[in-house]
Amino acid sequence: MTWIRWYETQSGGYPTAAVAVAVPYGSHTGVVYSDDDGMMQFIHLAFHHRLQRDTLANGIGWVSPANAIPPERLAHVAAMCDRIWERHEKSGLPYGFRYDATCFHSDGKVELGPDECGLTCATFVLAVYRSVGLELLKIEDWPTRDDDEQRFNQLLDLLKKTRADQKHIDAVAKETKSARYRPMEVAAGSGITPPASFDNATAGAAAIEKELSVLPPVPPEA
Amino acid sequence: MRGTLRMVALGTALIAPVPNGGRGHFRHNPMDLPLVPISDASERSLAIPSSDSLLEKQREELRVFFAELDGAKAQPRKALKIIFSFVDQALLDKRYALCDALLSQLEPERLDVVCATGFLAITLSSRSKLQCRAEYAHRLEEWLRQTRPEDVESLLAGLR
Repeated sequence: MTWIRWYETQSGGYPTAAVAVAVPYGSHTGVVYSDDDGMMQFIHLAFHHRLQRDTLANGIGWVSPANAIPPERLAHVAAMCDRIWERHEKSGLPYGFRYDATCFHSDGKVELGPDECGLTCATFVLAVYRSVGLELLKIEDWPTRDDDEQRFNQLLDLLKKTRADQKHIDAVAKETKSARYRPMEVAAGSGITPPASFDNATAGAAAIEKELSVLPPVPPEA
Repeated sequence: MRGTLRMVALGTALIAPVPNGGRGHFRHNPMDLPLVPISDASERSLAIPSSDSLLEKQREELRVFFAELDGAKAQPRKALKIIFSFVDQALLDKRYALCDALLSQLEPERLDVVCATGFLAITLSSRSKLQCRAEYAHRLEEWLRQTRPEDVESLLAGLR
């Protein structure tokens, strides 16, 4: 099974919205969607207060939602992405690890859950979909894995090198033992009837990573 | 619930949604329209001294909204943007009675599925404050069971 559709090889037929696999950004995800003007966009939380919206380019792929989510619901995701961008384009979104109840309101404004201080690239995607009623992953069943804390500590070190205020860094430091929803697991989950179980999402993520491991170098833009 | 007036608490101001003379999304028989209690305190306090003018203002707002929606019905994404903008602004202003009046007048069979489900999506975070949302969801579900029986669950998952 081919999990990823690539921008550079797609011959028309872009999705209204889909979860992205963004090779040029490392192990990274976001939402690929068609904006109000019909332009394909890639919205993603690059890091602390760095919400970005880039035009679709080589090296960005997505998991087809065709067998998982009806296109009518994907239109809601796309419309919400526009609202979130309008609302947070300048302010961005805070970065944080713990994800349980955070969501976006109808106006695109983020509402952090109790004891939650921000989002990762992966939980940003989960929150976008949640805001229109779609829980991509069965998060209540998500385990905390041995290497989650190590990865969170690496990201925390990066956060300390930004201009994040100390209060926020301290809050994020308290979240390093949280369950981690990995970017490729979220991407894989979007191709499965929601909410995807841990076993199905991790199996899908492994298949995506296998595809990525045999990729040729990303071709340059024309 | 069609054809009946809802019971409302004594002293609660009422908003009676009004048809727009045959435009696509309204219920057409004025006697068939439910009365929607104004549950929000700020609106209630405003409605007491001049409920007629508020009613008329609300009717006019809905008329304009539905006219705009009708104009975009061939373009579901544009129509969805109109819905999201209108409903979101009403929710931001805590005008829950206006949203309830809107939801109570929607006829799912006259809407594109993107828009019909879109009303539930945009009101999701305020569902506990909207008294007419559950009934609209029920009407929509009934319609989808007739027209898209195999897709009902995926179209409404997480929205009810």
